[in-house]
Amino acid sequence: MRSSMTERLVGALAMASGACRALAALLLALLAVLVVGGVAARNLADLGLPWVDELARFCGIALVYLTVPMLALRGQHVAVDMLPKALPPVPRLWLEKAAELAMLAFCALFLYALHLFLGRAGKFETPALGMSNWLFYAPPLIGFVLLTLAALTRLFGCASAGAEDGEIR
Amino acid sequence: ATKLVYGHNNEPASVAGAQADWFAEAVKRHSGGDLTVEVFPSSQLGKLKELAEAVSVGTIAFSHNTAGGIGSLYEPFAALDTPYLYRDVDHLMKVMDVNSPVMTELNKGLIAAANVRVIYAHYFGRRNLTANKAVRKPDDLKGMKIRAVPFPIYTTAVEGMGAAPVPVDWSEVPTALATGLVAGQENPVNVILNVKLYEVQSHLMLTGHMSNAEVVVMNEAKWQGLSAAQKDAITAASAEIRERATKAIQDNESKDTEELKKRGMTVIGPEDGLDLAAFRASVDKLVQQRFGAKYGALYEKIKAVA
Amino acid sequence: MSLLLVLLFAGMLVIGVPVAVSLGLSAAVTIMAFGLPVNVLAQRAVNALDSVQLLAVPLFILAAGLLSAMGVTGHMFDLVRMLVGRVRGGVAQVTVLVNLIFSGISGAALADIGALGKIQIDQMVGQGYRKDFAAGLTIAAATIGPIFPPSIPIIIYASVTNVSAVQLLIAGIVPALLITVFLMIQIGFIAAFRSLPRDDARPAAAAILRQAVFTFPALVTPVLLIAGLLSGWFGPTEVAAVTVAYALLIGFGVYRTLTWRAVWDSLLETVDATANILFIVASAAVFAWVLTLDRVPALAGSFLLGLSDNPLVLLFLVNVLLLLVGMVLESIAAILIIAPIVAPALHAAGVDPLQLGIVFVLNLMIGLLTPPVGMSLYMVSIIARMPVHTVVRGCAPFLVSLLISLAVVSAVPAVTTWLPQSLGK
Ligand code: NA
Ligand code: NA
Repeated sequence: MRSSMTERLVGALAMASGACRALAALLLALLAVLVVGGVAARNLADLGLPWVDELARFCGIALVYLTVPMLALRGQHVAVDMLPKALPPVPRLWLEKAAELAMLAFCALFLYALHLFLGRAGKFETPALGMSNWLFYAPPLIGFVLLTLAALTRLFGCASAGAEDGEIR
Repeated sequence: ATKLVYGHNNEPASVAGAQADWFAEAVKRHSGGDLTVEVFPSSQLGKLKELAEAVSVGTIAFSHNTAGGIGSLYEPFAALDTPYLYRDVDHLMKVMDVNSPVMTELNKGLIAAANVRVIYAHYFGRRNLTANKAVRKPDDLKGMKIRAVPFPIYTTAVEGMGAAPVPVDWSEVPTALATGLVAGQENPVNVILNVKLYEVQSHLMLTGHMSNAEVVVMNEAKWQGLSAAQKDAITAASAEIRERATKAIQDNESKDTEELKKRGMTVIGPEDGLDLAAFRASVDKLVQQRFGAKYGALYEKIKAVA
Repeated sequence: MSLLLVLLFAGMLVIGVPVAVSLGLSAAVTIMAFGLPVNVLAQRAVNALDSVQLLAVPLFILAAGLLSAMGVTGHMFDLVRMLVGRVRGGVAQVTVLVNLIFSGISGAALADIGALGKIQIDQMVGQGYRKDFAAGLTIAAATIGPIFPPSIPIIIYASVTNVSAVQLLIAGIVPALLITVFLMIQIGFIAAFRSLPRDDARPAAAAILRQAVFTFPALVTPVLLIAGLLSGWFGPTEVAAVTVAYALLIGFGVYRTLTWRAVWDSLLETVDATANILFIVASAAVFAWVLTLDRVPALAGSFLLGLSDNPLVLLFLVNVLLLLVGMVLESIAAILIIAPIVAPALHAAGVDPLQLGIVFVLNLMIGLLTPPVGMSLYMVSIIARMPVHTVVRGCAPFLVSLLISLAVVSAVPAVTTWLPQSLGK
């Protein structure tokens, strides 16, 4: 009973991370369209569009933070795994757990920092679009919440053991 | 003894950068060494918008920015960068005095909105247009792409002058001018000289379409945490450096214009047929249309400062 | 403060904590331990990515991904082999030349190895080359990729040192050609002494022509890209986006091998690779913030300038430093940590920023093939199913060409500065 509950939660996390990654891919497509559109507007219509520039930068930031959880879930973040790979299975497992613990600690501190920052600076707006910082920082917020959950599931060994050799991309 | 961090985006060799070091030295002197200001120039601690927010949340104690940049913390500040707003440098300095009626009111709003206080502001220069051809009236700029700071008030200035404003990242400006991505740009003469824009632009038009102050701001909580004597030291240092920096910029302005001439730029002023009245009328019209409703009352108060 | 920071970072890196987390967590812990403002962690990490220049990273990755997805790399290889395959050591020479062509599309050494490595190694081994030679040459030739524009490490270097990305990208052109020439000369020597294999059949002129016409639209991509940068019609990010548009155009309109499914897969692969790189960039920004607040860049700068004020000597010192750093540190992290420390001092001593940038990046790309931490070594060992030490042995001889190129770029500023300086004049 309990294990099926866990499975369902892990499944939901994988789905949420996958959805974020898909959203990131769409933002990348939008980014390409925006930049090409900016070129066209400038060269064909003599128009400079500061909001296009700003929206493109927002897409760039968002796509990074929205993809990070999926990479963690699959263990694809670039790491130097020489030492762990050289060790026998048991100490190696401990090092892997330590790495997940480090990820968890980083997530916790980052979210705390984001909470402090947005508490003060959440209402400020971006210059061209007047986008509030809450929106601007929403992708990192979502990304790090999912990243925390990803680290937790991997720490307790619930993640599907795929792509262990996928570190090099 | 208290240590405070001052982060900014300018090179230490420029006046805007050097004045931060002067300020640090003056604070130390006026506080008898009780208060130390550590300066981190050249965007080492972050870029402009980020620095303004860093002062607001207390990551750093001091930074400086254009009024337009402070506008991202408290919107009405952006009005202080309106083109053709000040009668002369003296008028600008009176408006930007922390004790002027305009500034007192704006500062109150800034503290409430962002936990940030203006401690002083100095004259930073008059923005002039450069291009690879002579420009004398708004019509001459028709269809020309001019690099503009991506703030509404700055793009409005360029658009009002008759050109198409195009955002270009600052580090790419010399290349963009060399290759013709944009046909011109606008900046104070010291910037034009320091970044060697005379290598890629042949004409300097003394349009003076915008007079800017560099606004030095401090985190309000850090200010309130200081002793009365420490506050006095900062106030004294502020008064001193505000005058010194303004004078240094003004002295340099004519020197730098001469230097640009020597380096081969054709300088076009009113005596060479530059139709300042036409530029002013054209820009004013667009400013009224876009910002009249929002800033009209503030513009009246600024005009009233004598 | 910095001591704690660096020790924590090194400790975590060694036990296999992801690079981004090692950087970010060591900075976060130091910030907490010394009572520095915590919110900088979130603020810096997000703002470091708020840059138009960095947008070129995903766009260039996407463009290269699309071109690979439409299957043009194999055709490029065939064409060059028809032209050069008959000289002794022909396929080895082809490997270098195809890397040069592909370097005009792709911006990262690992991407080059990913797109070309398997074909190259299979073709060489199939013709009787030693396996370690094939693996070593594949890795060495892939260093051309991130030196010739486009280049992800160069864009990242430009963004942290406030150097013009366009100029720095163009500055890489001549050095990349230099590496190509040195590698080809070295292969020529090896071919003469060890009598490497060659192709026997002479391809018909008509076949060559057919292959050339077929490959032409793809071969034009790098030309378009360089012309775009040189002409100034576009900024670097815009060139990247226009290349994406061009790739879609030829993929759907000319080759008709591109499908929407493949485009979607390229988008997904691109966000994966981008997030991996830029997450490191974000964390490194926080790490560098702590170093800066502790005055490390200023101290290191005055230390360097105290050793010498001769630009050549300083460049030599930086080379030694970077070759050591390149052995143990991942290349992007190395740029982000070391460049802000070293660049201001060397600029002050009169080293040209463009020359320094290329020396810096070339050095760290050589680091990709030096053990113990060399991402290219790992990658080839996986795709060629070869133990890492065999790959290292295969690489070692080609270090000669790479180090000679590095020495020339370091000693002669004009190699890097001439082309960008003649821009727009
Ligand atoms: Na390349
Ligand atoms: Na290495």
